[in-house]
Amino acid sequence: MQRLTRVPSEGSDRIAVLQGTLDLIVLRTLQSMGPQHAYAIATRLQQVSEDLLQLNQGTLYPALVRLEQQGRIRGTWGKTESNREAKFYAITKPGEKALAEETRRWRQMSGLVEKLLSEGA
Amino acid sequence: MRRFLAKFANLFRGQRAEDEMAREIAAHLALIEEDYQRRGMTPEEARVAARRAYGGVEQSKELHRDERSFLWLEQAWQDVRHAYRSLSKSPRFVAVAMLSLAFGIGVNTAIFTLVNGILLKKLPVPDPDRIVQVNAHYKDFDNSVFNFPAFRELRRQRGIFANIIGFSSRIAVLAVDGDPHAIGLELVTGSYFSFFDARPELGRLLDEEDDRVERAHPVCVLSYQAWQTHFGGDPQVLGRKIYIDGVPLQVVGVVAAEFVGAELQRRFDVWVPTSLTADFSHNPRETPIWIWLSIMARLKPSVSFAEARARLESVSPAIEAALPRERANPGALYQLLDASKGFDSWRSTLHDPLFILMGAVALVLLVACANLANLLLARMNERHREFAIKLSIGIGRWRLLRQLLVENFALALSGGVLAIILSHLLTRFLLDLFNAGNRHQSLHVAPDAGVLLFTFSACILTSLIAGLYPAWQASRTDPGPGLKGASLDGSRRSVVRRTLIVVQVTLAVVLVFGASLFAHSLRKLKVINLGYDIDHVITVSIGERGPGKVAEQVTAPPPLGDVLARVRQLSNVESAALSEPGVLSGGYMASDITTKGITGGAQTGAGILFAGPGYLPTMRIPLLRGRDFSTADRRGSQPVAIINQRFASHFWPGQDPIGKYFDAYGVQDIEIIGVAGNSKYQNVREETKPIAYLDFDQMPGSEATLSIRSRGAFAGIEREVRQIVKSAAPEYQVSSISTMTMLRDGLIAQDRLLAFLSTLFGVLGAALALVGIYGLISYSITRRTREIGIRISVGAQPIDVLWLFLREIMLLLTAGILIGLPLALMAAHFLQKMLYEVSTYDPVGIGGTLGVIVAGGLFASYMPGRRATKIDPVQALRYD
Repeated sequence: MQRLTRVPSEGSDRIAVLQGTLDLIVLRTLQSMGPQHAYAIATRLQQVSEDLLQLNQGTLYPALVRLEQQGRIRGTWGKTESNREAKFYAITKPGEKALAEETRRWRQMSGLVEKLLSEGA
Repeated sequence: MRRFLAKFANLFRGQRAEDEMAREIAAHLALIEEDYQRRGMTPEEARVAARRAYGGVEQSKELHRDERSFLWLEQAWQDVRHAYRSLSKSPRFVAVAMLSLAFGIGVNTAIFTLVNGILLKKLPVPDPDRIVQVNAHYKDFDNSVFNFPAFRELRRQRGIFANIIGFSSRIAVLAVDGDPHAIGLELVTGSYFSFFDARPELGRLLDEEDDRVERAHPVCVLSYQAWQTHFGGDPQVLGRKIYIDGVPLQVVGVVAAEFVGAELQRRFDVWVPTSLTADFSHNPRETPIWIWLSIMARLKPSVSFAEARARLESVSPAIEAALPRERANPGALYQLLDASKGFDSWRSTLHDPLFILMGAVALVLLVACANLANLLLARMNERHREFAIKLSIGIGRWRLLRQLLVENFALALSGGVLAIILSHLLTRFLLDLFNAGNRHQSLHVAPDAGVLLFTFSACILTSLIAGLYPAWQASRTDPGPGLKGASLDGSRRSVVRRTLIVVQVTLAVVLVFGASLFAHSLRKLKVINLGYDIDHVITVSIGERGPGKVAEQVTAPPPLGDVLARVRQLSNVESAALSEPGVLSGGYMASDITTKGITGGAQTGAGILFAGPGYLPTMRIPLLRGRDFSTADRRGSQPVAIINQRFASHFWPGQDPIGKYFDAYGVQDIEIIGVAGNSKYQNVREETKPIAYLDFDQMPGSEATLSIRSRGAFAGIEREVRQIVKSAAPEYQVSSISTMTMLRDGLIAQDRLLAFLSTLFGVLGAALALVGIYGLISYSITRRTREIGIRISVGAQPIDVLWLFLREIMLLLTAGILIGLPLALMAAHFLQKMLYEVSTYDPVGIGGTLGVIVAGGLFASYMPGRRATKIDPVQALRYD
């Protein structure tokens, strides 16, 4: 018997995606991994977060649609290694720019929060 | 922006985007499944796990859609289609709801059409707020007409007015190919058309030159309407000579169709310069004792209204001093009034009635709203299971709420469309009703974009007022018990439904009571003792034909004796007599009275009415003492008079006035030959005044009113009289014929209108409330069928069952009356001014109102209640 696959389930130690950060995470993933389909993105997010991130894969779609409409990513239909059809998303030029900007802002923000939290202690 | 466009594009690619989404989600699920299978799950396990990993497919689709497009727009369209499907499933509900709304909004639209047309709209001229009208203020009265010299003096005030016009209207007869047509004619000063920025459709309009020298330019301008109606829109009409009141006039132009003039609510057919005044009246233009001209002006741009008003008041004495000494109404203080909405001949009079009507229709709409709210609450209950299902398959509460609101709005809007049709008919009917008695000043009002906007707003408001609470309640349905079909009519909702009935009853009480007051007032006005008997009396105004009605001709003896003799011979004429003016015709003459041998403060004015032999008997005015005029009283013989009781008691209290003398109307030593009963002169509502009847044959005039007491139909006599005047007195023409009843109704047109409308609104309000009660009882019987079944099976009698519901309605009616009656009595204070001899605490009205409401309410609950008594217990217990 092979080991049981861990599938997402309700857990108290899991964190919900902070509003607005999902876009940033998706862009970053696409930038570092190249064009990916949604499932690959979701899998990657779970791996990176070591399953701490509570993410129904379906919730990824709104972010993808939003980013695509903003012109930050572009989706094209293609085939996976296993020859299944899937929509592959790639980061675009404006997407790269937005990612840089959002990253800067995030760092600033998290730095600030961190500072406030440690000072208060 | 880019996103906006993408969303916008998606709006039109709904299906494609939807397909794309389905495809992507399917692909995603396939990928997860594949992955899981690779990791060792069975295909079945993988499928389930994939779905779990993915999360709710439908929710995700919703989120996806939310992101994809103008969700609200797309969903709104879905909601509209959904609303249509949902509503078309219950046509009976829709019919009742739509009719409630159509009536509620319809009467509001109709009254608003009048308010808008009469009270709100401004003149279609640039900067209408600079337009004023001139008013002559005296110690104890105000006047808005002037003699021509006063106009000339006002025109000199160039420091105040940029432009000033005078105008005066009358009914005239236009002869086209020998056929006479009654038309509205307006005598206007030179700058009249430029004042209103009017544009000619054809030819030119009148100017200062036309108006400068009396009778130098016999010209006229036609209205577009008159040009179309009487001349078939023929451009050849320019330069043509036409005859109006027999005066030959050259048509110099046709004014554009959109032209209105000084009053938005009135229409004229022909405009003539005031230089031709003498041709259309008995006086030359300059006559100082004749006041006839309305005056409007545009303020100079540099002067504020307050400044202009103050300046004009300060120059008033100078203006007065410049006027001829022998003139009517000296000592005026000239005042300015705002005329941005046009010259005020209706506005002030109709202001209060229209506001009261607007209030009444607002109440009707509220009753309709309450009705709709109740219908909706019942409907929401019936649809309870539907909502539970919707909520449990993932439709958001907010979305559900919105769907229901859209449904209500769709309902309100279709009601609104019906309402517009209804209001159009009602407005037309009202104007006809009003104008029937006011043919000389008919009221023109048409709906415009503002009215449509009003109706639309009323629809939105209604759907919100009536629909918000039910929809909100429905959206809070608990899917659990809901799915099992458990009913949700919790006590809160049932309290709301009962409260709504109380509100309806309350409003209905106010409306019905108001209606009862107006109806009672009208009834009093109709049975008022006028002092004569107007039934079967026809009154014919006869005037001399133009041209040339100038001063020197009026001394010619009026050859109306032949006409009178021939009319008296007609088979269906009981009696006939001449007078001037006719009573209740709007005409009025008065004079100071000087009596010989009377000292002290008894001097006063009196109404003067010239009456021929037989006038008093024809009108059935009782001759209390002395004798009637006879053919022996003629011009040149001793001037004689018959006075009414009021006159007699004023000057000779307790004495016999016969044989006494007085001076009046420029005639000395008039001998009193008789005393007649008191009667109304000019108006139905007037106080009893002293009246002196002077002998018609001794009158210096060229107009007369022929009063005929008939036995036959009005139309037959009208034809015969016209024929007689044509052949026996060709130098005269009949200017109008009507019955005395019509004249009387014209004088109380506003009361009739108010009584009619308030009754209509009272009936509507009450009917809507009764429908509400009917609905509540029917509904509650349906819900309590099982309970009633049990009651009947354990021996309850029909009366007990009926009592179950009647008791409840009695309670609601009592509550509604207890709240409504004080409100109604308070509201009645606003009506006081418009009532004739009816107290606002009118016991008849209170009794009638309570009777109508209680009887109606019990009837409305008895109808469905009877059904309850016939419930078969066996069936009812099976019923679910």
